[in-house]
Amino acid sequence: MNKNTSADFLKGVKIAFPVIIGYIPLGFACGVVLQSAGLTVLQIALMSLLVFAGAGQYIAAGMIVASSPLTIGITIFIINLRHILYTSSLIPYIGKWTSVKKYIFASEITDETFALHSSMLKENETLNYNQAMGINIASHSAWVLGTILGAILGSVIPSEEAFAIDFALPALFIALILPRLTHRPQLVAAVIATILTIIFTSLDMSYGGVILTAVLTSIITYIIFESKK
Amino acid sequence: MSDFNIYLTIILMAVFTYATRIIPLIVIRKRKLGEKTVKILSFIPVSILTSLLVYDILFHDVNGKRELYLSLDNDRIIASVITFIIGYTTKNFYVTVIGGILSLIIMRQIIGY
Repeated sequence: MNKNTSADFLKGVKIAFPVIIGYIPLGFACGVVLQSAGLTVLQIALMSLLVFAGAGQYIAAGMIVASSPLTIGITIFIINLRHILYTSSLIPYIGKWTSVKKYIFASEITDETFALHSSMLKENETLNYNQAMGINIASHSAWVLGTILGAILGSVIPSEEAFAIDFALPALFIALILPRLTHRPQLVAAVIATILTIIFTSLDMSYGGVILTAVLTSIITYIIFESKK
Repeated sequence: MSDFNIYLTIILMAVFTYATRIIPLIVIRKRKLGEKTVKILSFIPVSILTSLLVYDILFHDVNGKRELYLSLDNDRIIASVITFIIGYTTKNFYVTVIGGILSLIIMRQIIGY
């Protein structure tokens, strides 16, 4: 690593700080659940390393006793379909990277790392690869560490609620949404997304509703603001 | 589940999840995205972040189903409003995140909300 590379990488690690704070306790809780589903510490660590998908791993824990590996795999695929939107919306900003870099980078895209990357985007500019990888690797490490701790210390769980750990990621999302709202189309998109999510979630669409909300909101907002030009 | 099946499950989960992350790289690789597509995609981050937030904060699990939880008993709604106000006034990213979490800790620990 030359000096610039490591400086950019460390900057990414610093940007990832709020996600790290959220991932360790969330990973811990996930580790506890996976351990009580019968997985060993090694298996849990391996899963966090290779899969790195919070909601998916929680759901796998609930299924692992009674479902076949293929059923679990397909369920996880459907739950994680929203990743398609993430990578798609980042493509214009990573077009100049080599293919290998793109495929390595994409392997660590989650709700939270995507949220951080999307806050770094500037029109017609390419993302800084080393900084992006700093964000990814720091977040992923926190997740792996959290789940291992949960797997080992599962029996002595501190109260997650008392320390508002369940609010770490929502607070992060609010901090990331806010600066966008000064831009009128983005504000309108947030309002439309709120309404659609309430409707779809009430219809019991789960994460499918989140995906549909994002797609419909983006198209509707585009039609309202851009099609007139 | 046997050890073999657990490892098989982990491998399948990894492959299927990686697929969701790289499908766009395979499908859209050859052409440059049009201006219209880029514009539409620029609304994805705010839409999905808002959607995940609403899904998480305004709803809760009741017997495995998400149900609307619009009530003053939902302390996370109040904490969200406080977080928005902190963010709006300070315009500081870290102060917003930490202030938001602290507000909920104070509500739960000190006020006993």
